[in-house]
Amino acid sequence: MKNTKYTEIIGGGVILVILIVGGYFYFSKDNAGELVLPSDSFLFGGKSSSTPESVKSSTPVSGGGFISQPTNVTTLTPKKERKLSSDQSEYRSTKYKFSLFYPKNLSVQEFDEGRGASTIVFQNPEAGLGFQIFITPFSGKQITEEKFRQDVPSGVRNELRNISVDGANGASFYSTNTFLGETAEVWFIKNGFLYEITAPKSLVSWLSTIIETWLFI
Amino acid sequence: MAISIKMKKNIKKFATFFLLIIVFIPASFAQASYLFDGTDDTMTGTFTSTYADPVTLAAFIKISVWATGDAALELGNIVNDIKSSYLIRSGAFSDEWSAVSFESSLGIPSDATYTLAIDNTWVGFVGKFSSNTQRDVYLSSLADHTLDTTNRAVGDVLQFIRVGENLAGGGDFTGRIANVAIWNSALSDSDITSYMNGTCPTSIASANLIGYWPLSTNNSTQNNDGLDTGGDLSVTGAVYDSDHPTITGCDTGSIPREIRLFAGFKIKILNTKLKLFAE
Repeated sequence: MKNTKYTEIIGGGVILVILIVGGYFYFSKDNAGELVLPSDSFLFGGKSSSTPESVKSSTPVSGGGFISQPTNVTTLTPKKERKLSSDQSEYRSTKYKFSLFYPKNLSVQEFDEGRGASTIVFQNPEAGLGFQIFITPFSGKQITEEKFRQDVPSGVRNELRNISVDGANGASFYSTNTFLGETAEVWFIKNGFLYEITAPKSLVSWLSTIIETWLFI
Repeated sequence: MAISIKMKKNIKKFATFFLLIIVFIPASFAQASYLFDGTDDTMTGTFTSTYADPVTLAAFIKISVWATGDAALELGNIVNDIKSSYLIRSGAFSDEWSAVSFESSLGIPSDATYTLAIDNTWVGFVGKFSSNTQRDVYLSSLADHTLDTTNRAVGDVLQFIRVGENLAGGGDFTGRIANVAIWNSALSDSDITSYMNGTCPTSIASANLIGYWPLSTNNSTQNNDGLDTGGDLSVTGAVYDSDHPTITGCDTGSIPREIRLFAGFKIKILNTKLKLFAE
């Protein structure tokens, strides 16, 4: 009887230790490891996770940047104290007039696409992390259906949401790509350029925290 | 019967060839202009935001016969009033062209003028309004230029746009107008040369291009392709015309996107986690 009681206590303790240790390892994994990301974010449609201070949902957008006009706009402005942390680097483009902070464990590659357009790739394939920014001169205020179809041949544009990134009006949506599969897209227009940010949909929350640091310079 | 089959084959070949031509014609920026007949033809619009000097007004014009006081483009503080505005128009004397500042209270003008015969030729016409005491007019090239420094106090809530007429409804333009642009900055010499040489305004000081109207579509509303969220022009009387200046580089927005992320890897998603394998 006594042995049974001891066994129960020891067994319970072991389970508790397993839970604590397991929980510690589960929640302490960093970006370079086996990070499990939620499939939604404050910048995108679907269930919303917690909303940071710098994000405000507000009134219908005026002069919005996309083909069709959802009713609400999510405004994303950089935090007042935009301070580089030890695990971040700054990417700065004087040509395209913006700066953002990205995780240090990503490499950066720039591709000149000609006629003023560029693609900037931030990635760490070993960690399964990455996104790209395609920037092209753009004279309009709204992205036309024709331009959308040109860059997104699949034509998929799900959970479209109007957004504003540091004052630039645009849209976020989910799409599909033959190579990347399901993607998260953030497009906006500023200073005569169209900015198209793309990442695998599974990285949407991670991507949102990076876009939160976006600043036009 | 044999001839009929051969004909069908030829028709099929021709149709395929025709289809290929249609599919592979490169998309290009259609160019055109609007013809103003000198009697109440105009385009009007209002910016969403308001602007202050410095501003630069620019348009390509083509006339048959010079006439006095023909307004090409005006940007002002007061709707339907030339007081407190900037205007590019023909001057008082033969073949004279002006960049005019109208002061706020009485609308007294002062202008920089340049004389050049431009009949039957497309030319760039630029007025640069740097401050209340400096306005420059350029016609055709940077060299064809005059400066005026008379003090004229113009208000700093510029918002109302008029093409082919002045804001008071007079000075009706006779001739063609195309490639109209407004910057909320004083363009540099190299920028003005670029404009005169037909570079698309979207590639010139693009961060300050608040208004750009190619006037290349046959539509009663001419959309503002500049940065201001308003400024679309409503067309009254002016007629779409195929004649146009040669403008280059306006179709740069058509570059298609390439997905370069994770190039050279195979992607798998395992339990919501992204796994990449080298190809």
